Amino acid sequence: MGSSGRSAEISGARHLASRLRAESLQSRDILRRTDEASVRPLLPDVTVVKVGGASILDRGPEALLPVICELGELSADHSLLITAGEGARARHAYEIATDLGLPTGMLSILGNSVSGQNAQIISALMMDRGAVNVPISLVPTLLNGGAPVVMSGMPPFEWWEPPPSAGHTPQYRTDAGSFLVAEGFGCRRVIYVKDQDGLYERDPATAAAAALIPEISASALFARHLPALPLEPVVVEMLVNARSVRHVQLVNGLTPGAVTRAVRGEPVGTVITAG
Amino acid sequence: MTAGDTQPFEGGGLVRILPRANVVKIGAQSLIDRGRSAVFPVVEELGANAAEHQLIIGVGAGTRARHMYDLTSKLGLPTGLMATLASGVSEQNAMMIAALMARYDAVRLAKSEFTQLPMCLAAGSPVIVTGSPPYHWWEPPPSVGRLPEYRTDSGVYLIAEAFGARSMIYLKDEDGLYTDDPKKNPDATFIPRISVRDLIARDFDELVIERKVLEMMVFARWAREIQIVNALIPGNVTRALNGEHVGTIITADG
Repeated sequence: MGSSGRSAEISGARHLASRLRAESLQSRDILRRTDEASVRPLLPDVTVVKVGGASILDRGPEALLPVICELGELSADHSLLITAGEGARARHAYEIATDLGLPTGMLSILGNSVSGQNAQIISALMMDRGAVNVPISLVPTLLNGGAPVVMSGMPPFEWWEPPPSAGHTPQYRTDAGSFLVAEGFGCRRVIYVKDQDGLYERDPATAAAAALIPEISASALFARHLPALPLEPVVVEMLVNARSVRHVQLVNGLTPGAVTRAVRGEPVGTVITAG
Repeated sequence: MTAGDTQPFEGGGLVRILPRANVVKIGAQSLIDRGRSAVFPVVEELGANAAEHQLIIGVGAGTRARHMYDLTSKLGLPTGLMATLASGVSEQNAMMIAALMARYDAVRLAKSEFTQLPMCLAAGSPVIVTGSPPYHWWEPPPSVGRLPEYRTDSGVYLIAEAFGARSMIYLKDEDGLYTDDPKKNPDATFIPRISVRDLIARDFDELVIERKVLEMMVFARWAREIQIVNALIPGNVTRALNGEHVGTIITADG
């Protein structure tokens, strides 16, 4: 196979030489070949930390400021990519837009805007740490320069949000977007800061003695059909196919020190593994 | 006001934002990479239909994307970068199609300009768009291989779905769907019409359209039927826009 860069005419079209020349890109045997070289993690030492919307941000200063304080301390010796959840204002916008008969793609646009507002709030609160809220193309430069970077957690799917299998709300929201940024950049760790210790055998809101699950695989999690998963289900689905991110961690941001321990790699909260 | 304007609340309370728009995808490996012999007749036929049919024209990426996928996969680069780069290839093709269709008052709109879609369409201007969905670094990890699974067939499909378009038509260089790739297997059988559930169940290894489109059709609110037509045959584009069955129809309701 030549790498001359010349094109060749095959059945009427001018094709560039490559292993994928004239292929439909649907055949699985052909596709598997593209996965032979392992994925190069581009920013392996960056930790993605998602600050929950309803669970942390919307609770106001009592919940948010201690998390911001811990992240600020951690930013001195950890490279942090902080993503913001969308929370109450997004849910309100989803409700109104759904009532107006507007499509899921419109809801994704509205959610992204709210998550962007929350990212600006977090970056303002962390300005004294040099935090910046920048377009994705500048993220690696700033992280490498030592600044904590804050961004909207929502993936930019907008009108292109895939139709959800049930209901009307986008399936890829801020948990998913945070995961996908980590997967794209090859960041080693993804930490979700929520308002509960992690995953429980039963819903802790209704079962007081529910036991915390310290570690579980994505497949075991699917098999259990846990009610009230505190994470977008699509994250668990994507984890199975992910090439770089092999686990995600859920921690309670209301517990002092939990975020710090998670960023330092300690097994606090619940770890969900790809296996 | 046309009938389309007065019936926007069908489909479980959902509004059709652009009920008269027809979304058409021009294949790249199948058509654009053939150059003028294939592209000029397609552009002329689309232009001739612009007065009668509102057109949103999405454009594929083709052989340059395949070259880039091959190179980046060998370099161990992630799917998110491939999706970002593929979008640029599709955009190059969109710019070329927009230039060729300028004589039909066509405009190219970036996603940030989509609020101008209604005005352009009402003015009779075909709107040319990048086919790739803007997932870029956020491309979901594929189940098989390294390549993005949501490529230009999917991106264009999602425009039809989100805006509640009148039709979704894929222009390719084959008559439609076959049981195998007809370019490689002369015994492949043509399928004129099939339900998306049957097609998923038959699990062909080769397909004329991205698998993600089929998966999304199952849950689609509006884009529940697509047609794949051979645009190398003069008249097919016009007939498909007029609602005739000239290629393969895949339906989520059959």
